Amino acid sequence: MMALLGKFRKPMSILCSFLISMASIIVVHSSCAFLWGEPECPECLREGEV
Amino acid sequence: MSTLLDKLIDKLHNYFKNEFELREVESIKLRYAMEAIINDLSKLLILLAIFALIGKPMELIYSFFTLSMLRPYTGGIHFKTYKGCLAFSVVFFIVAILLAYNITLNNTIVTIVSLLSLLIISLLAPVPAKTRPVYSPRKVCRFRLISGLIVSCHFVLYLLASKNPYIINSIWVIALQCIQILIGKGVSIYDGSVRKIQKAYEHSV
Repeated sequence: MMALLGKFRKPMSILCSFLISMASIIVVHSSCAFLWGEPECPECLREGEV
Repeated sequence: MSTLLDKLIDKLHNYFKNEFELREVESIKLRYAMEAIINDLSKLLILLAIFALIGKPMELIYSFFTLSMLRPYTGGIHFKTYKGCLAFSVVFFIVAILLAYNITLNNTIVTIVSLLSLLIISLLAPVPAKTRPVYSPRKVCRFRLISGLIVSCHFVLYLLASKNPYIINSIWVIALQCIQILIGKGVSIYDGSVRKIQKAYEHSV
């Protein structure tokens, strides 16, 4: 799988940036994920009042 | 299932981390987003399979569409485990679909449901998970305003097309989501008071 991913470095880099920005969007711009379970919010994303 | 997903997330996370030389903060954010998205996507696929088997895939899609608009702004109950969340999701959508099939909506019921929903949202929403940050009053107001608008839009849509299956499903999803906000708020108030009593006890000892 890793070899396959290596062939798509550019799209994977875009996906990586997208996912990193999604983390802040999930925490700052919504109060909850879609369904009834969500991962524990990391400390770096919940520092202070948002 | 959750172990399989954890392994997949671990592999992808390691790939991204090593390939793009991510900093610690970026790596943590990436993992959080991947866990949130992959877990929800997998649950949605399982739900689709279950509801396709019982012959109600469209009803699930209608209900999920309404819920996905409302839940990010209102919050609600949360489960610690993957299985707990999945089981509750199945029960929630089955109850919503059963209600839509067995109770005929009329203007009175929809008006009462919409007004009660607006009241609950404007007083109690959002109910975020315990691990989330504290939202500023401005943000809370924004969340309430958006969710109020979503409920109002569905009420207006019902008045325009009361026989539409999407609208009938969504009215019950809104009602169940608001019941959940009540329960979620009750749980968070109870947890808060238990924590205060524990702190007071620790100080006294």
